[in-house]
Amino acid sequence: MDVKEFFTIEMSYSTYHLVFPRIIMFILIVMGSFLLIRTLVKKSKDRENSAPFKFFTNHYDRVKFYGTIILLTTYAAVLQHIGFVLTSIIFMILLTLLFIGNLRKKSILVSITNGLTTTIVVWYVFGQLFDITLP
Amino acid sequence: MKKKLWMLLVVAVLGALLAACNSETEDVSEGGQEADQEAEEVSGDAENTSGEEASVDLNRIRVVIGSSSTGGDTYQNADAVSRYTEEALDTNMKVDAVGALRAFDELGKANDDGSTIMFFHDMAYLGVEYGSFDQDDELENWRIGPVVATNPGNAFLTSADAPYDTMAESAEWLEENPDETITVALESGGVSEIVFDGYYLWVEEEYGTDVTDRIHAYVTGSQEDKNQALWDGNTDIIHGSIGANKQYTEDGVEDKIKMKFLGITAGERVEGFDVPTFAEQGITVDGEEFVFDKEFFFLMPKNVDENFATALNDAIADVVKNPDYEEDLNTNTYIVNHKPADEAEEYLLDKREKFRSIIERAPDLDEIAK
Amino acid sequence: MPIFEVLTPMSVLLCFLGVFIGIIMGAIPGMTATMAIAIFLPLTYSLDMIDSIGLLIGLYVGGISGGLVPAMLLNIPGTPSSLCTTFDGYPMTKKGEGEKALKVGITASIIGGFFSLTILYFFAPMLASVAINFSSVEKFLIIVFALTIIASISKGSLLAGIFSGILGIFISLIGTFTDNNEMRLVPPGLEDELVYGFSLLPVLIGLFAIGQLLQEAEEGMETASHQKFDLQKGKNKFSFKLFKNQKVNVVRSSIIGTFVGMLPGVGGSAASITAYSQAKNFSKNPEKLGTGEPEGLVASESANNGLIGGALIPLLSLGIPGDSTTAILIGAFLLQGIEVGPLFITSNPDLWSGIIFALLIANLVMFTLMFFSIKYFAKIVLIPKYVIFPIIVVACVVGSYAINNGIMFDVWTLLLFGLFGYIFPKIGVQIPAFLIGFILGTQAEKYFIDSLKGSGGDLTIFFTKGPIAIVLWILILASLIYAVIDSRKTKKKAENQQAA
Repeated sequence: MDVKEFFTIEMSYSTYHLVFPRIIMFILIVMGSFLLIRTLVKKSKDRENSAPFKFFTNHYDRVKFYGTIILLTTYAAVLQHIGFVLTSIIFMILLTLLFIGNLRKKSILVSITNGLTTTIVVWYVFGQLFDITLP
Repeated sequence: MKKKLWMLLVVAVLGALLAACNSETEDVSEGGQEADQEAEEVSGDAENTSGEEASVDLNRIRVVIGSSSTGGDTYQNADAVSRYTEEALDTNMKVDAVGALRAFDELGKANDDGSTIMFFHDMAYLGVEYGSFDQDDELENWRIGPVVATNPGNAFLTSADAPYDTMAESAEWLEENPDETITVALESGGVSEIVFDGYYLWVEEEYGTDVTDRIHAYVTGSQEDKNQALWDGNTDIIHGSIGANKQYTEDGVEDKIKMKFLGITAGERVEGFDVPTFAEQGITVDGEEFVFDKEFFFLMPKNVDENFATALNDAIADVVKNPDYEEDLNTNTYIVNHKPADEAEEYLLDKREKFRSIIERAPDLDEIAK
Repeated sequence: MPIFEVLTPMSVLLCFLGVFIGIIMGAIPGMTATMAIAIFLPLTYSLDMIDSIGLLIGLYVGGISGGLVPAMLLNIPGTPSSLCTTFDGYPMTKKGEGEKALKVGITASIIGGFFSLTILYFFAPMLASVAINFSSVEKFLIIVFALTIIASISKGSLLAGIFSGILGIFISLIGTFTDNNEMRLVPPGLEDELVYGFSLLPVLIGLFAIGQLLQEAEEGMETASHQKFDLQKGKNKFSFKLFKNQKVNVVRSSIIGTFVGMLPGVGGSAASITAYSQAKNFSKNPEKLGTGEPEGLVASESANNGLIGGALIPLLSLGIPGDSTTAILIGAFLLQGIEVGPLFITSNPDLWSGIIFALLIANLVMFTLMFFSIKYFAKIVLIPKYVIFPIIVVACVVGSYAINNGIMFDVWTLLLFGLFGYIFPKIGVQIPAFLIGFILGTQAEKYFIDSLKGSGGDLTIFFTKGPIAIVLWILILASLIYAVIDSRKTKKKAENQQAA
């Protein structure tokens, strides 16, 4: 085979979009499998030494972790239905409270202040003054 | 708008002063917030004084456009018409450059009160015909609003030292030089493809396939990409416009980047430019002069509120008579072209029908693209 | 020409205001310089040209500079071009040197800004014709050159770092390829949402801000060590003397920033990425970069302010925008009916000097505003996490939603990549490498395909195009070899230390 031919890629208008992704996918798969095999070999070699893979850190804070995930998802989900201002105020109050981790009077006060000021400032400055499209 | 800007200035200066006074003694975060709140009150008061009595019952109309660039002709025309129409309607219009696919998407999801409308040009239906946009986005599924402007400078260009001066001459030159080829840079699915197809079909009728076999397409995106493709030597002719490309054709421009116009597709010449139209050059398709005017118009949701549609239509009818609007368009070589909504609907459907036959016979990009 | 013959007091005032708003926008995660300019673009119509230039240039300079604040203090790059600022900035904050880091960054910024301003003023027309000599082939190679940084910033496994980078490129390719409007790699059912792929900004702030939020939540939002300490630990104060040893670094990074910024379509983030990787390659202690060295900050910040002057070079002397921000600036000129093109400078001498003066003033204002208010900025890190994180989340959500003018899917992108930002480090995917791949991936593809369209599919074009291509290949290889040697050295050192 001609060297020149070997270094030529067939270019056709309707498949322009596939050329580069195919190359990248090829490299990705080759490297990925190499890394995977290497990790597995290493693991089987010194099974005694290495601790089993642990996803979470020791004694991770379940309440705060899952609470954050649930709050974030709910926030995004209802944002467009209820409106930016109300959703954001409620979300910020709840998130601040969750992070403080108690329901003392001071915490509630802090969370309400935080929720109200941030939301209103963002709503006013960006939504009204700068005319940014808000959710 | 000017008032808003002044307001901002006042707010900023006050804010800075307040922050400067407070920050020494107070905790930063509080100081900052207080200044913000203060600023809020100041400008909040001012905002209220401009009492609003709207002729449409909307605080804000969002105008999504089919281009994602704020430097293109779609944005400029949308901006100009919105600026005058918002006054006429006594509301705020905000142009959002979201790009064609998203604009259609937003319009499809929009409320029927007219709070979101779209502004675009002929690509709105050409894209559907060429298959770049979804079939659901065809004109029938929208309420067509008025046509407001034309960009008459839709053109082809080449390097200043090319051996031909018009599109017609380029075909002649190809015939005389059987070893040569011509590559044309265009964007798929848009105005540039339809006018290229017009040229291609004419060459085929006039000179036959041994000439068209030597015409290739270089498919790319923005105007900058097309210009760069010409400078890189990857193409011989590019699609462009008088507004966007005239600065490269003027005297005093370096030879390397200098371009010249090969013709415009509009029905009439643009004042002040010695560039022949396709029709003048004798470019015809099916025996008819090939004329393509790039026109800008509004699209609304199919079941848009009747009152809104009428209000917009009436407002536009006033705006196009405003000499300031005309002057604004002229600074960027656009011209006023008004067709009220009912007329526009018929007109655009006819126009689409006319170019459909060209699209059906258009060359397959797979075969002519390099 | 005396400044005030060209600039009106109004334009100076607006420039000041622009810088002020720009810094704030740049400092809020999720707001960028591009967005700041886009917001003010319609307002400029009612102003005189020279006044609107003052405002827009101010926004541009302020927006790019403000990005360093959250990058250094919170490990969240405020704008894509301050990505590399996080590498050394945040470690410095952790060491209690937040204020010093900020001052180093601001000083580097103004030096980079002035440097590129000088280049713009004296060499704009000449350099512009150099810039268009860079065809798609050379641009592709420049992107590859910028990508080699992935190898040099890999922590731990070099291969894992490169894998992360390629994964980033892969994710960036999801969506539509604009030449032929064909979609690829889009999971079924998400065609509507992913027509344009994932947007950069939500991906960026998702990986950093939301990812970090989740990690902190997992650890229970403990007060971080650096929050307990004073921001200025006695002996490590900032002083301008620090720049004595950085002369070469500053100049090199500013040149890289200006030059990469100048290449149309390459622009912003690539500038600071390239400068950072070269700072690392040339450094006497490369292994220290990334652990809180002012050297890294200097490189990243002088380059990203250098790019402003650079990006304006092709804009003002050819009418071609150098990056996305200058693309919007073109809109501002056109709204006023002024063509920016090859004759712009000669036919609008007043406007041209106006722009230069506006840049000068904007840089000075930026420096003054930031340098003297930095003490207060730096206290952001002392705000309790339970207050600051909810604020960041809302800012990120608003920014993501607004970046493409109101797309809810961008908010979901933010959250999705937030989750990735949390998971990636645990499974060995390196976030900075991933992001650099993601930022540069689409550009790499565009110029790769453009090159092949020009050559008819012939790959040898990348070697035979001309002398510039050869030089670039040498740079790429040198950079890679250097990264491999460096990685070995670091590994050996670590082993030796363990043995001892």
